[in-house]
Amino acid sequence: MEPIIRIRGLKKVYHVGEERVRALNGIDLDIYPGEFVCIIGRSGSGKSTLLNMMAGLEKPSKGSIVIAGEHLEKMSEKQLVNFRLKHVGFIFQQFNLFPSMTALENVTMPLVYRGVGTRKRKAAAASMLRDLGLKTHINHRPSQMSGGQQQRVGIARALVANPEVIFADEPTGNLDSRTSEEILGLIQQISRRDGHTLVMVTHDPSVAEHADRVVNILDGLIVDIVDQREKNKAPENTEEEPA
Amino acid sequence: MKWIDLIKLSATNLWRRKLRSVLTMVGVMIGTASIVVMVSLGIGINQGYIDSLAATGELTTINVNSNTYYGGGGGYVIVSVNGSASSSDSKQVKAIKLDDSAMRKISQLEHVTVASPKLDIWNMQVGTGKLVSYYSLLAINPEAAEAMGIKLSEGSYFSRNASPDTIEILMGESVKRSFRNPKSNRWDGEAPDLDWLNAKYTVKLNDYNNVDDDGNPKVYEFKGRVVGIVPADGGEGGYNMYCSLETMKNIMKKYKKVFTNSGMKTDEYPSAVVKVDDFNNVSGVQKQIEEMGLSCWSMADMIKQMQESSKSLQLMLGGIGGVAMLVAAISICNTMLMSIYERTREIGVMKVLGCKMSKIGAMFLTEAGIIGLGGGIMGLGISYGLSSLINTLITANGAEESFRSVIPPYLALGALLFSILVGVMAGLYPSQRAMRLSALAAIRNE
Ligand SMILES: Nc1ncnc2c1ncn2[C@@H]1O[C@H](COP(=O)(O)OP(=O)(O)OP(=O)(O)O)[C@@H](O)[C@H]1O
Ligand SMILES: [Mg+2]
Repeated sequence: MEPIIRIRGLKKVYHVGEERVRALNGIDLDIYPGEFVCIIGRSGSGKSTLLNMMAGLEKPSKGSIVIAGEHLEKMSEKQLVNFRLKHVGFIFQQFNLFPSMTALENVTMPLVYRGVGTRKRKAAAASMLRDLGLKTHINHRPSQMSGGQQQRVGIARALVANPEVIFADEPTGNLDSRTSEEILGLIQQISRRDGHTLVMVTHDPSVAEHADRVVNILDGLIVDIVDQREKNKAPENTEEEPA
Repeated sequence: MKWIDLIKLSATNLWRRKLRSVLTMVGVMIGTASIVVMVSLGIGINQGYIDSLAATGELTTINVNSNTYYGGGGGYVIVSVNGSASSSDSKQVKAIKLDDSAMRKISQLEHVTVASPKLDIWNMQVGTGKLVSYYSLLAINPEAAEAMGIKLSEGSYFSRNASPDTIEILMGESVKRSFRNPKSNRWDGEAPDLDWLNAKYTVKLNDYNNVDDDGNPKVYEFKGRVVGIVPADGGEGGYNMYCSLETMKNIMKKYKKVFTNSGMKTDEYPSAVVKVDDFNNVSGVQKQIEEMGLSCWSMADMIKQMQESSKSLQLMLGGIGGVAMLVAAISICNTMLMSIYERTREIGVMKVLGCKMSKIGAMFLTEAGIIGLGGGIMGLGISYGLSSLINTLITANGAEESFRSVIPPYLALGALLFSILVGVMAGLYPSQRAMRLSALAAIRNE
């Protein structure tokens, strides 16, 4: 299978005054369509840097990132925005909902940017919110919702335009462990259903357990990649097959 | 992203900061109102009115009045300087008689094409058959008739060698209606059906100091002849019956006693009319005549003054408007920059979610434009109020024919477009800033 994301020799150097911070030291990574990949590592190891670069939010110092056949490192900022519009959904750790808008309006925004008509986008947003169990909170503003509910709105917003790749930087970092489990389940379920590729940064090993593959980063280098598909399949199958 | 969504989004953003948006609009409001009222005054100087005056030649006419004819010492004539009659920059000149020598001097002034006295012969009556007119004859220089702008619809001007005992008359169209039988009560206000050019006229000179027992004055009769008809648009509305001053002077010499007895002077004139070659020379000539000691009045003078006072008001408003608009633009720019600073994270999130940079720029431009439009609408409302206030004040001061404030639809529309333009221009830099903001700002912790 062709990888949807192909990263080669990726390096990122930050200049802080005289000092040089090597956030990434040469990353090679292939991610395949429909995969759920977790990036795990200590604080400051370069996880966010890697994710941001894949989402086109930061420019690489060296190396190449090819997503859906397009070279991100060669794109202007304008092209990157258009690229995200076409291929990428993003889930934030701080939710980053628009505070003045209701849950429904927040979820419609990616569709508004894509020029989708009012009725169509409202229907899509409402159905996505329903999938995430927020049927009763459609007209609530972020300030009227719990953190878990806000993050579900954030997830709905990332998924509503049906992007090929979804990036999430510690999406459950601000939530308690039970809510995290719940939300993780939902993300996974919908990504599976709609065939999204999911790339998630976390430093929580229990979160990483759900992933198909876990990429371990240390000091800007990949230490190892653990394939958990076989391991995860067994218990899941015993639960699901009788249905 | 659709336009309608963009506008809605911008409007919502402004609505979230209502007070600030409205305060920013106030600047545009003041600027728009000042500029609209300024332009409305320019439009209000009725160009049509001036044009029609120019067509009748009234703009090149100076009316000279004697300060001595009706008795009194004559006093002084105030010479206005630079068109203004305020006491500080004007001087006084001793009034002189408006007599033949004064008329000669006036005629010799540069730019004067023709000058003629105007002498109202109010003790003579013109009649034909049983009909008599209550209009008096107006004696003018016979050679000046045409140059004075008197036009004829029929007949001809005064003949060069008129017989001294026939009074030639140029009959105004509107005067015809005044001919009526004094013994009859029937009068319908219509001109009698007459062959005006060929009818026989008698002109009676009444000696009011020689009254018989029945109270009737002694009468001297002269032959009259209408040589030309002055149409309603042929000068002074066709409301005059002109006769030759030369003929009249002969009669006055002969019957001096009769004239002086009825209060008329035979060696000076109450008024005169002076024609100038060009509108722009009117005030210069007028000033020279005033300096001789004669009062003047001219339409040009009035229009100049009206333009002058309107212009100074316009300049003031234009200044206020310009400065207000500049301040408004700066304030819009400032408001937008502040708003961008506050919304850095929001803009970043928009970029991460795939909102095109051009749309982000457009959104801020639209916000600035809406502020401009809002201010423009408010300013236009104030303009209508101010405009009617100015008009009320002008009318209250009795200066109806002077300038007015008029706001035609195209001015209102233009004002709105201009205020939007000011908003958009002021929003250009902030919107560029917003577009350039980093998407990363959205995910960084503050
Ligand atoms: N804008 C920046 N300027 C300078 N240095 C930076 C910048 N962003 C990240 N770094 C540095 O790059 C390294 C990797 O940072 P990164 O944010 O990717 O870590 P992380 O793995 O996401 O850590 P955490 O788990 O704490 O979020 C760190 O040493 C960090 O200090
Ligand atoms: Mg991080």
